[in-house]
Amino acid sequence: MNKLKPVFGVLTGLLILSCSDAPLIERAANRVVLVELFSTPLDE
Amino acid sequence: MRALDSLSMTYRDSLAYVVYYLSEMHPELESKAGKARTEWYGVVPHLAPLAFFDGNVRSPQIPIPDSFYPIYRNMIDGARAQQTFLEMTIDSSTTGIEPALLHLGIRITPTDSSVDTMTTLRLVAIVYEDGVPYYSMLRGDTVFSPMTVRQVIGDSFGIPIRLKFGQNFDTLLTTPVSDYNIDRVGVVVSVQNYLNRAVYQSVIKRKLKN
Repeated sequence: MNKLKPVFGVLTGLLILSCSDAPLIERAANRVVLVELFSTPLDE
Repeated sequence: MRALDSLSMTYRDSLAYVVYYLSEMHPELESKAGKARTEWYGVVPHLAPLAFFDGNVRSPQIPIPDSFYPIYRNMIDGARAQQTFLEMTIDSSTTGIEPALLHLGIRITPTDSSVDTMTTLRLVAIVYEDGVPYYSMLRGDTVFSPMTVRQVIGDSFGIPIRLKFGQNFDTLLTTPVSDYNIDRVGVVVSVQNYLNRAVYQSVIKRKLKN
Protein backbone atom coordinates (compact mmCIF):
# COMPACT_ATOMS: atom_id res chain seq x y z
CA MET A 1 0.00 0.00 0.00
CA ASN A 2 2.85 2.36 0.93
CA LYS A 3 4.37 1.79 -2.50
CA LEU A 4 1.18 2.98 -4.14
CA LYS A 5 1.01 6.28 -2.19
CA PRO A 6 3.44 8.22 -4.48
CA VAL A 7 1.55 6.98 -7.52
CA PHE A 8 -1.75 8.28 -6.11
CA GLY A 9 -0.01 11.56 -5.26
CA VAL A 10 1.20 12.05 -8.82
CA LEU A 11 -2.18 11.09 -10.28
CA THR A 12 -3.97 13.56 -7.98
CA GLY A 13 -1.50 16.30 -8.97
CA LEU A 14 -2.07 15.64 -12.66
CA LEU A 15 -5.85 15.67 -12.15
CA ILE A 16 -5.67 19.05 -10.37
CA LEU A 17 -3.49 20.48 -13.11
CA SER A 18 -5.79 19.29 -15.88
CA CYS A 19 -8.87 20.76 -14.18
CA SER A 20 -7.22 24.12 -13.44
CA ASP A 21 -8.03 27.24 -15.48
CA ALA A 22 -4.53 28.58 -14.89
CA PRO A 23 -2.52 28.97 -18.11
CA LEU A 24 0.22 26.51 -18.87
CA ILE A 25 3.48 28.42 -18.94
CA GLU A 26 6.39 26.83 -20.70
CA ARG A 27 8.80 29.76 -20.27
CA ALA A 28 8.78 33.53 -20.02
CA ALA A 29 9.63 35.26 -23.30
CA ASN A 30 11.97 38.26 -23.51
CA ARG A 31 10.01 41.32 -24.37
CA VAL A 32 10.82 43.75 -27.16
CA VAL A 33 9.12 47.11 -26.63
CA LEU A 34 7.30 48.86 -29.47
CA VAL A 35 7.43 52.67 -29.36
CA GLU A 36 5.15 54.44 -31.82
CA LEU A 37 5.98 58.12 -32.00
CA PHE A 38 3.52 60.57 -33.54
CA SER A 39 5.44 63.64 -34.60
CA THR A 40 5.51 66.65 -36.88
CA PRO A 41 8.45 67.66 -39.09
CA LEU A 42 10.83 70.42 -38.07
CA ASP A 43 8.90 73.22 -39.80
CA GLU A 44 5.52 72.62 -38.16
CA MET B 1 13.46 61.95 -31.57
CA ARG B 2 17.07 62.29 -30.44
CA ALA B 3 16.11 60.68 -27.14
CA LEU B 4 14.74 57.66 -29.00
CA ASP B 5 17.82 57.49 -31.22
CA SER B 6 20.01 57.34 -28.11
CA LEU B 7 17.74 54.82 -26.41
CA SER B 8 17.75 52.71 -29.54
CA MET B 9 21.53 52.40 -29.22
CA THR B 10 21.20 51.45 -25.56
CA TYR B 11 18.47 48.84 -25.94
CA ARG B 12 19.38 47.73 -29.49
CA ASP B 13 16.96 45.02 -30.68
CA SER B 14 14.98 45.12 -27.41
CA LEU B 15 13.48 48.40 -28.60
CA ALA B 16 11.58 48.86 -31.84
CA TYR B 17 10.63 52.45 -32.57
CA VAL B 18 8.86 53.96 -35.55
CA VAL B 19 7.62 57.46 -36.37
CA TYR B 20 4.29 58.45 -37.90
CA TYR B 21 4.54 61.96 -39.32
CA LEU B 22 1.60 64.33 -39.19
CA SER B 23 2.26 67.05 -41.70
CA GLU B 24 0.41 69.50 -43.89
CA MET B 25 3.58 70.95 -45.42
CA HIS B 26 5.32 67.64 -46.15
CA PRO B 27 2.78 65.09 -47.39
CA GLU B 28 5.71 62.95 -48.61
CA LEU B 29 6.37 62.02 -44.97
CA GLU B 30 2.82 60.91 -44.23
CA SER B 31 1.26 57.49 -44.76
CA LYS B 32 -2.24 56.07 -44.91
CA ALA B 33 -1.39 53.84 -41.94
CA GLY B 34 -0.06 56.81 -39.99
CA LYS B 35 -3.28 58.77 -40.50
CA ALA B 36 -5.44 55.80 -39.52
CA ARG B 37 -3.40 54.97 -36.43
CA THR B 38 -3.29 58.63 -35.37
CA GLU B 39 -7.08 58.59 -35.25
CA TRP B 40 -7.23 55.14 -33.60
CA TYR B 41 -4.85 56.22 -30.81
CA GLY B 42 -6.73 59.49 -30.39
CA VAL B 43 -3.70 61.66 -31.11
CA VAL B 44 -4.38 65.35 -31.64
CA PRO B 45 -1.72 66.70 -34.03
CA HIS B 46 -0.95 69.81 -31.99
CA LEU B 47 -0.06 67.61 -28.99
CA ALA B 48 2.72 65.89 -30.97
CA PRO B 49 5.32 64.60 -30.31
CA LEU B 50 3.49 61.90 -28.46
CA ALA B 51 4.78 58.37 -27.90
CA PHE B 52 2.89 55.17 -27.17
CA PHE B 53 4.71 52.32 -25.46
CA ASP B 54 3.41 48.87 -26.42
CA GLY B 55 0.19 50.36 -27.68
CA ASN B 56 -1.63 51.43 -24.57
CA VAL B 57 0.76 53.44 -22.42
CA ARG B 58 0.97 57.03 -23.54
CA SER B 59 3.88 59.28 -22.71
CA PRO B 60 3.13 62.41 -20.69
CA GLN B 61 3.24 65.82 -22.35
CA ILE B 62 6.85 66.94 -22.08
CA PRO B 63 7.52 70.70 -22.23
CA ILE B 64 11.32 70.53 -21.74
CA PRO B 65 13.21 68.70 -24.52
CA ASP B 66 15.98 67.55 -22.13
CA SER B 67 13.49 65.56 -20.09
CA PHE B 68 12.47 63.26 -22.97
CA TYR B 69 15.35 60.83 -22.40
CA PRO B 70 14.80 59.94 -18.71
CA ILE B 71 11.01 59.79 -19.09
CA TYR B 72 11.13 57.59 -22.18
CA ARG B 73 13.79 55.40 -20.55
CA ASN B 74 11.58 54.84 -17.49
CA MET B 75 8.62 54.00 -19.71
CA ILE B 76 10.65 51.51 -21.76
CA ASP B 77 11.96 49.85 -18.59
CA GLY B 78 8.39 49.65 -17.29
CA ALA B 79 7.15 48.04 -20.51
CA ARG B 80 10.06 45.57 -20.61
CA ALA B 81 9.25 44.44 -17.08
CA GLN B 82 5.83 43.18 -18.23
CA GLN B 83 5.71 39.47 -18.89
CA THR B 84 4.72 38.27 -22.29
CA PHE B 85 3.64 34.96 -23.75
CA LEU B 86 5.01 35.10 -27.26
CA GLU B 87 8.35 34.69 -28.93
CA MET B 88 8.65 36.11 -32.41
CA THR B 89 11.42 35.91 -35.00
CA ILE B 90 11.94 37.15 -38.54
CA ASP B 91 13.10 34.35 -40.83
CA SER B 92 16.22 35.60 -42.59
CA SER B 93 16.02 32.91 -45.26
CA THR B 94 12.64 34.11 -46.59
CA THR B 95 12.90 37.82 -45.75
CA GLY B 96 14.32 40.33 -48.19
CA ILE B 97 13.66 43.24 -50.49
CA GLU B 98 13.78 43.73 -54.26
CA PRO B 99 13.25 47.01 -56.14
CA ALA B 100 9.48 46.54 -56.16
CA LEU B 101 8.66 43.83 -53.59
CA LEU B 102 9.27 43.11 -49.93
CA HIS B 103 9.08 39.57 -48.52
CA LEU B 104 8.72 39.02 -44.80
CA GLY B 105 8.84 35.62 -43.10
CA ILE B 106 7.64 35.55 -39.49
CA ARG B 107 7.51 32.80 -36.85
CA ILE B 108 5.53 33.22 -33.62
CA THR B 109 5.89 30.73 -30.78
CA PRO B 110 3.37 31.01 -27.93
CA THR B 111 5.00 30.20 -24.58
CA ASP B 112 1.80 30.32 -22.54
CA SER B 113 -1.66 28.84 -23.11
CA SER B 114 -3.46 32.10 -22.25
CA VAL B 115 -3.05 32.97 -25.93
CA ASP B 116 -5.50 30.22 -26.95
CA THR B 117 -8.59 32.22 -26.01
CA MET B 118 -7.51 35.51 -27.60
CA THR B 119 -9.66 36.18 -30.64
CA THR B 120 -8.75 39.79 -31.42
CA LEU B 121 -5.02 39.51 -32.09
CA ARG B 122 -3.51 41.27 -35.09
CA LEU B 123 -0.15 40.82 -36.75
CA VAL B 124 1.02 44.38 -37.35
CA ALA B 125 3.91 44.48 -39.83
CA ILE B 126 5.19 48.07 -40.10
CA VAL B 127 7.43 48.95 -43.04
CA TYR B 128 9.60 52.01 -42.44
CA GLU B 129 12.24 53.97 -44.31
CA ASP B 130 15.07 55.39 -42.24
CA GLY B 131 16.13 58.82 -43.43
CA VAL B 132 13.45 60.19 -45.76
CA PRO B 133 14.66 63.52 -47.21
CA TYR B 134 12.53 66.66 -47.10
CA TYR B 135 13.35 70.31 -47.50
CA SER B 136 13.09 72.28 -44.28
CA MET B 137 12.19 75.94 -44.73
CA LEU B 138 13.32 76.56 -41.15
CA ARG B 139 16.82 75.23 -41.76
CA GLY B 140 16.97 76.17 -45.43
CA ASP B 141 18.37 72.74 -46.10
CA THR B 142 17.44 69.11 -46.66
CA VAL B 143 16.63 67.19 -43.49
CA PHE B 144 16.32 63.40 -43.14
CA SER B 145 13.46 62.01 -41.06
CA PRO B 146 14.34 58.80 -39.17
CA MET B 147 12.30 55.56 -38.92
CA THR B 148 9.49 56.97 -41.04
CA VAL B 149 6.50 54.65 -41.40
CA ARG B 150 5.61 53.93 -45.02
CA GLN B 151 2.91 51.29 -44.61
CA VAL B 152 1.40 48.63 -42.41
CA ILE B 153 1.03 45.40 -44.38
CA GLY B 154 -2.56 44.29 -44.85
CA ASP B 155 -4.43 47.26 -43.51
CA SER B 156 -3.45 49.95 -41.02
CA PHE B 157 -4.36 47.75 -38.06
CA GLY B 158 -2.64 44.54 -39.19
CA ILE B 159 -3.82 41.08 -40.13
CA PRO B 160 -6.15 39.05 -37.84
CA ILE B 161 -4.43 35.93 -36.46
CA ARG B 162 -5.25 33.07 -34.06
CA LEU B 163 -2.48 31.48 -32.01
CA LYS B 164 -2.37 28.21 -30.10
CA PHE B 165 -0.01 27.14 -27.36
CA GLY B 166 2.17 24.26 -28.52
CA GLN B 167 2.01 25.28 -32.18
CA ASN B 168 4.28 27.61 -34.11
CA PHE B 169 2.60 30.20 -36.31
CA ASP B 170 4.51 30.73 -39.57
CA THR B 171 3.62 33.17 -42.29
CA LEU B 172 5.20 34.81 -45.31
CA LEU B 173 3.96 38.29 -46.24
CA THR B 174 4.66 40.11 -49.50
CA THR B 175 3.99 43.76 -50.26
CA PRO B 176 4.88 46.26 -53.03
CA VAL B 177 7.51 48.86 -52.12
CA SER B 178 7.81 51.04 -55.19
CA ASP B 179 9.13 54.59 -54.60
CA TYR B 180 11.04 53.51 -51.49
CA ASN B 181 14.79 53.78 -51.06
CA ILE B 182 15.24 50.04 -50.51
CA ASP B 183 18.71 50.54 -49.03
CA ARG B 184 17.06 52.14 -46.01
CA VAL B 185 13.96 50.01 -45.53
CA GLY B 186 13.39 48.04 -42.33
CA VAL B 187 10.45 46.37 -40.60
CA VAL B 188 8.93 46.19 -37.15
CA VAL B 189 6.46 43.38 -36.53
CA SER B 190 4.17 43.31 -33.50
CA VAL B 191 1.31 41.26 -32.13
CA GLN B 192 -1.37 43.66 -30.96
CA ASN B 193 -4.78 43.19 -29.40
CA TYR B 194 -7.25 45.13 -31.55
CA LEU B 195 -9.66 45.39 -28.63
CA ASN B 196 -7.47 47.32 -26.18
CA ARG B 197 -4.43 48.20 -28.37
CA ALA B 198 -2.05 46.26 -26.06
CA VAL B 199 1.08 45.10 -27.85
CA TYR B 200 2.36 41.78 -26.52
CA GLN B 201 5.55 41.26 -28.48
CA SER B 202 7.58 42.88 -31.25
CA VAL B 203 10.62 42.24 -33.37
CA ILE B 204 12.71 44.56 -35.53
CA LYS B 205 14.88 44.03 -38.59
CA ARG B 206 16.66 47.29 -39.28
CA LYS B 207 17.82 46.65 -42.81
CA LEU B 208 16.20 44.28 -45.27
CA LYS B 209 18.63 44.66 -48.14
CA ASN B 210 21.72 42.46 -47.88
